[in-house]
Amino acid sequence: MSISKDLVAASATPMILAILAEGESYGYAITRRVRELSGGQMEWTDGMLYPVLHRLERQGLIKSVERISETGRKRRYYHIQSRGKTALDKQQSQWMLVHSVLNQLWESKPCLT
Amino acid sequence: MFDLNQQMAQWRQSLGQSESLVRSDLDELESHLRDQIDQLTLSGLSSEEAFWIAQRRIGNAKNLPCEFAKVNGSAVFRRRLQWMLVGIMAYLLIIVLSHLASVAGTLAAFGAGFHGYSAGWIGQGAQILVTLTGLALVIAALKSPGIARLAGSVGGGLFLGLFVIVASILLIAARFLIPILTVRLVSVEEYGQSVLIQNASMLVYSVLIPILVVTLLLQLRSPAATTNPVDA
Repeated sequence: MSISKDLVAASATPMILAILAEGESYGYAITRRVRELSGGQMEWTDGMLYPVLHRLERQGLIKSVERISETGRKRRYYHIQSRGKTALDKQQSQWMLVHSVLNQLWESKPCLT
Repeated sequence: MFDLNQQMAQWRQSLGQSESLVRSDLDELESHLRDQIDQLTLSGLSSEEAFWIAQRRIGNAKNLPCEFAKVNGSAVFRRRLQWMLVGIMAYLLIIVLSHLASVAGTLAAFGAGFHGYSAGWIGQGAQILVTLTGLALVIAALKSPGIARLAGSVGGGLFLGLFVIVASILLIAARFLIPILTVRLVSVEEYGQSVLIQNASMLVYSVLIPILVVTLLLQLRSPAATTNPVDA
């Protein structure tokens, strides 16, 4: 099942913030985590993640540092900031609300059989 | 034999041509690509197969710049400003060089035995020729990616600027010296006639330069913008 572009775009921010709330991470690991959690069904064009990360950093929600990774190559690690945690809480309640509305609508559908 | 580093360098270069990706973006994307390739080779793919899959997943040189442009707006604008300044330098250089051609052409024509007005027109011919050559060179440079990158760099702008200054000094010197030399060759009246013709040079710029600008504008018509998968 492929998810529409609009939905991918809308959900990218809360997903990134939620993954970073678990601990520091980097671009490639974030895309892998999303792929894993969606059972491989949610495919991002990997490169598109970075502009989103950079925007979140500019908004002060996350912060990045460059370090030498265990592979011996330079890598940019991202951390969530306190403003990011607040933003994540807000996003979470919004998504839960949308989720609950849709759930009720679909559950109340009369059974046709 | 597949050379991963060479392929990687090529991939980096093709992405780097876009004005919206800065060096740190390219570093980060390359690190991602290499992580992905490591992972895929661990699962048994050859480095060539891994490279092609990883490259496909990360996105192509058409879509990525579009996304990065949204966050790197100021860098994009800086590069454009740089180009405008280089453009002004190129414009000044063409004008100064063509003026030099005009005075030199007129002097040469007097030397070859032409008289007043005709010598002036020969100078004008030389001026038009140099302007056209300059414009053709600008168009050719813009079409060749190597030269365009060079000209678009800060160094390229400085180099052009230096050229403009040197050529302007030459032009000023020529304007002082050439009348003195000319009136030794021909009468003041004939010299005056040739100078009258030189007034037509404004026409050269007000016709040829707009033609260049229109040509470039037509060439710059961009294809329709692509849509963006991830943006919140």
